Parts: sequence; C-alpha cells; structure tokens
Amino acid sequence: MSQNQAKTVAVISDEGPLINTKPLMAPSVILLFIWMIVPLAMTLWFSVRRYNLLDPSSTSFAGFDNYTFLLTDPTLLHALQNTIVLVVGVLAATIIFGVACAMALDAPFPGRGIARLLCIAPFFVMPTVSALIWKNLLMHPVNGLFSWMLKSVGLPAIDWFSDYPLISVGIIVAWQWIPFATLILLTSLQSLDREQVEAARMDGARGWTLFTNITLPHLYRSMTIVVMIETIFLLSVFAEILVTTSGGPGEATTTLPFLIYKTALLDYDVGGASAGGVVAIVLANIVAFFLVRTIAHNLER
Amino acid sequence: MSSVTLKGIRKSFGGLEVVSGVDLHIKDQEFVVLVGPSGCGKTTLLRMIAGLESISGGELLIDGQVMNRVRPDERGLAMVFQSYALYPHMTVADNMSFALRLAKVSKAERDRKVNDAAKILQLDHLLQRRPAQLSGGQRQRVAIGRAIVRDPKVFLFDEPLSNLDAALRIQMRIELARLHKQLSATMIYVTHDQVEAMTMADRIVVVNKGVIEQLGTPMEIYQNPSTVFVAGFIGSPKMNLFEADTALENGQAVAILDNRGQRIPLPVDPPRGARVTLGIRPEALNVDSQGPLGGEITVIEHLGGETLTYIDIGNGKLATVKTGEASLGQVGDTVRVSFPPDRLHVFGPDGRALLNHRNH
Repeated sequence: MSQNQAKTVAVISDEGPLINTKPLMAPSVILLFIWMIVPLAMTLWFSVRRYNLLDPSSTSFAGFDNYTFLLTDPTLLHALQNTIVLVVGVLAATIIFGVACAMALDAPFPGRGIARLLCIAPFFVMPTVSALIWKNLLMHPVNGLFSWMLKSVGLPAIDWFSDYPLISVGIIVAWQWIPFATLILLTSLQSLDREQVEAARMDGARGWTLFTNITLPHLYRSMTIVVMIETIFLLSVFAEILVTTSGGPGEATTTLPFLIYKTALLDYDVGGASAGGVVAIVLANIVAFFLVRTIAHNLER
Repeated sequence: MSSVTLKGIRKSFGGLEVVSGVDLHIKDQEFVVLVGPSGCGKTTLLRMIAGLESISGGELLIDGQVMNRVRPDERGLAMVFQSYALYPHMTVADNMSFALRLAKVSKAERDRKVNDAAKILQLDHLLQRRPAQLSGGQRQRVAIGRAIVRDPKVFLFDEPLSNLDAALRIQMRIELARLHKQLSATMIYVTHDQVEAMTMADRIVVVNKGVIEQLGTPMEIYQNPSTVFVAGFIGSPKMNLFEADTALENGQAVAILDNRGQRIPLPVDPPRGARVTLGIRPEALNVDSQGPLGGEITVIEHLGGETLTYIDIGNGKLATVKTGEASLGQVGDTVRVSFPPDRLHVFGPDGRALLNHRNH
C-alpha cells in the first residue's frame, strides 16, 4: 500500500506540479499583456496618422510621412545625441562618485550613521523639487551659492544653464542618482570577505593596489546592476529638464523624451510625437539587448 | 633558518584580555599546533604573529628580529585561511602569483614558481580555472599553493581543514604532514580539533582562556596531561574524570568517589581532605570482577574496530570503556572494571596534576 502510494507520487512529480497552474496565472498575465499592448498599439496607430490637435477633426492616413519627417529632421539626431551624452555622463558620474562615497561610508568614523543617512537623502527628494533647488539656490547666476562662492574668491559668476546647459542638467540628475549607486555599492562592499582582504594584505596589497585588485573586481557585479537600473530611469529623464531649461537654450538640452513632449503638447502634433515614441522604443530595446547580454555574462562569472 | 619566539605576548580588545602573556619558542622546521576550544585566543595569537592584529604587549621575534610593528607582507610569512580566501575573479595561476606580481617578480620567474608549486600539489591541470569551478579540497590546495609560491619563512594555518568533509579532511591531513617533510618549513597550525593536533604536530600547544595550558609532544601531552582541562580536551573518546574526596585509611591515601563512595587507593598523598579529580583513559579500563568501579551498562557504541561501553557508576555518572571489536556485555548487564595503577591521573583542587607519569 505504502509502496503503491510512493509510486503514484513519484509519477506525478515526474510530470510536473499536481495542479494546472496556467489558469491561475492567466489573469495577471492577461492584464499585464493588455497593459502593454494597448498603449503600444495606439502609439503605432497614431504614428501612421496625420493627427494634429489644432485641427483634430481632420485626420487621415499618413503612411510613413511622420517617420520620414522625423528622421530627416536634424532635431531628432541632436536629441538622440543629447540623450546618450546625458545617460552615459550621469552613469559615469554616479559610478565614480558612488564608489568613492561607498568606500568613505564603509570605513569606520564617528558619526557614520548620520553621514550615511545624509548621503542617501537626495534620493528621496522629488526630481522637480531638487531641480528647483539647484536652479534657484545653487546655480543661479545672481543669487546662487556657487556664484557667491566664485565671487568671494574674485572669479566671475557662471551662468550655468546658458553656458553649460547639458552639464548642469547632468549634475542635477547625477546628484539624485549618486545615493542609489552608493547604497548598492555600499552593501556590496560590506559583503566583501574580510579574510580575502587579509589574504591580500599578507600578499602585500595595500591602499591603491588593494583597491584595484580586490575591491574593484568585487564591485563589478553590483556596478552592472547599478548601470542597468539607472539606464532605465535615465533614458526617461524629463522633470529636471522641464523645470530648469525647458530643453534650451535652443535645443541644447532637448533629449528624446523632451522632444516627444514638445512635439505632442507644444506643437500639438500627435502623429509626429507617436513616431518619436516608436523611435524611443526601438532605442530602448537596442540598449536593453546589449545591457541584458553584458549583464548576463557578468552575473554568470 | 626560521624560528618564531613569543615573549609575554598579550592582546586586549578594550578591557577584555583575550591573550594574557604567552611565551613560546618555535624552532626551525618545527610543526607546532595550537589547539584549544573556540574563543580561547589561539586564532588571535596566530593573527598577531601574522601581523593582521596589533600586539598589545610583549615581543614577537622572527629569526631573532623584533617584528611587532612590521607590516604583514614584510614578515616573510604566508597564511592559509579557514575560508581559503581565494580571489574569486582570478584564475588559480593568478591567485598563486598575486603576491609575486605585487613584489614585481618577473613573469618567467613567477610562472616557474607557480608551476613548481602546482606540481607539488597536483594542481597542474587546474591552473586556468577560477576558484568557483573547484571543489573544496582543490580550493584548499590552491590556498596552500598560494602560500608555497611565496617561499615564506613560516607557514601559518588557521583551521584550514574545518570546511572540508570528514574523508577529505583525513586525506588533507596526510598531505599536509607530507608537505611539511617535503618543504622542511616551519609551520604553525591552529585548530580546535585535537585529532588534527595529535596526528600532525611535532609539538602541541594547548591554549585555554588566553594562556598556554601545556606544551609538549603529542604523546607527552596524551600520557601526561598537566591539568584537568588538557586531560579532558586531548584524547578521543574523552578521558573519564571523576570528582572525589580524599581520606587517609590505614596509612594509605584513598579517594572516595562522589557517586557511590567507591574507594580508590591513591599513588600520591594529597593535602588533608582535599577534593581531587581522578582521570582514567577509556582504554585503560578492563573488566575485573574485583575492580573498584562498577555498574550497569547503559549504552554500547560499536564503531567496528573498537567498541565504547558506557557504565553507570552511580548518580548517572557514566564511565567510558574502550575495547576492541568485542563489547563488555549487553545493555543492562552489571560489570566491574579496574585499571593498572600507573594509568591513574590525579588532579588537585586547583586542577593541576599531582603526579608525573613516566612515559610508557
């Protein structure tokens, strides 16, 4: 009897779970699928329509006109360039400063708990608020802290948003994302095996050689995670640009998301904006493809 | 020539003293095992020798030179860690040559040394693998290889076998002993496992509560434990220890066991009315109908080649008897046992041995 039972159980476990799980998963899968497919389909549909909100009643099929117009417009190329510069620049800054902050916060010193809290704090400030703070309190050419500091050492004030617009936006975004990188890298540092560091010390590594040979390789994995997660968010940076420069001066800080916003809600061109959206989706997928490949490779090691 | 001398070495963490005044001289080419229960300070002692822990007091000399403030990599030591502490992002070859690379040794020289060490440890075919692709025993060998490559004056081992399974541990024990002969190097080895200490050491240092309890060759310590602690710690199965009162009866000092008042004549004369602890190794007990100890057999453990019989000698106190394949009887039987008088250890109220045994 008991042997029979054992046999039955064995057979069932060979075939998979005891119950069919597909109907149980179906509602969430279907909901998520609709959630994704409806906006995508609408974007694709609008991108092949002539549809301007100034004259919403007269819509017609446009074929690839929206795409032709967009892809031959130098604005798009410029926006793509700005997006890539912003994303890569901010990624580099957050990794470098994130590692530095994490190393500093990992070392014991009095008041470390408070320092950690303060270092993480910018992450919890809303993008619009932080952009306003930077614009009006720090980078303002007349009232800002930076111009006061420059003036007090006898240097001319810098008008950040007109002279270095993209860099300024980048600084603000980096300030918001350094805490995230710090947090991930700090936890990773804390998991570094103490005996491994001691073994390296006995092997003669210390200071910079210890950092480059032991610490940095240990951090690679979490760095790739930081890069992956941040890329997702940085590709869609918008509030900081709207609040500070509104994409200007000229098109100096117009990124792809901001270009789409401008086309749709300032030029009222829904068709053109949708075509821009499709370009953004393609771009995001290209990035995702390479990211997932490199990260999968990195995590396997 | 590489000797290590500790002179009154102390270590305190805040107000807590974990090593309190250790004097020890380790001769050239000697294999010394520091053994003790966890938290006894043996690892801290080793880490102070290595330079990973600062020395609170006393002097450390390697080859006659004071090393207290010398950086770990300049003491000429190599250490094998409990967790192996291999660098996961480097290949086996890179792991082994890391110290040489930092010391700016030429590539050809590095390769030669790594290949030599790999040959000794049979790692030749694994040099291009990463630590994650190795088994526990192989990782252990890489960790030892990393130490060999540096050609150190002294090898330090911090419980290197405790992460291995039992079979592998025995094999590595033999390999380490062989390696010691082959390299004729000075080795200091820390473990909590008294079997490792007994099998590998030239000399054993039993550490307890931050001080050296006893120092000697394995057989000296086994046959002549100087304290109750050493008696109970060294030897498996554990030595039988019985608490007793003492009295003088007919001009002969006797111990009166707490359990059933069994009387055992003492070869020494303890202070009047002193409490003593009697120690008898399990293999020294034999069945003897006239024996002073006796009781019901409660448990029999058959280990194949040997058999352990536990006899209740009163108040639940068990005496362990070790015999060959045959056991003393059945569970529930009552047996009596005796022992040769020269196998009796007597410890005074302070836990120190009251008489010295000659070597058998």
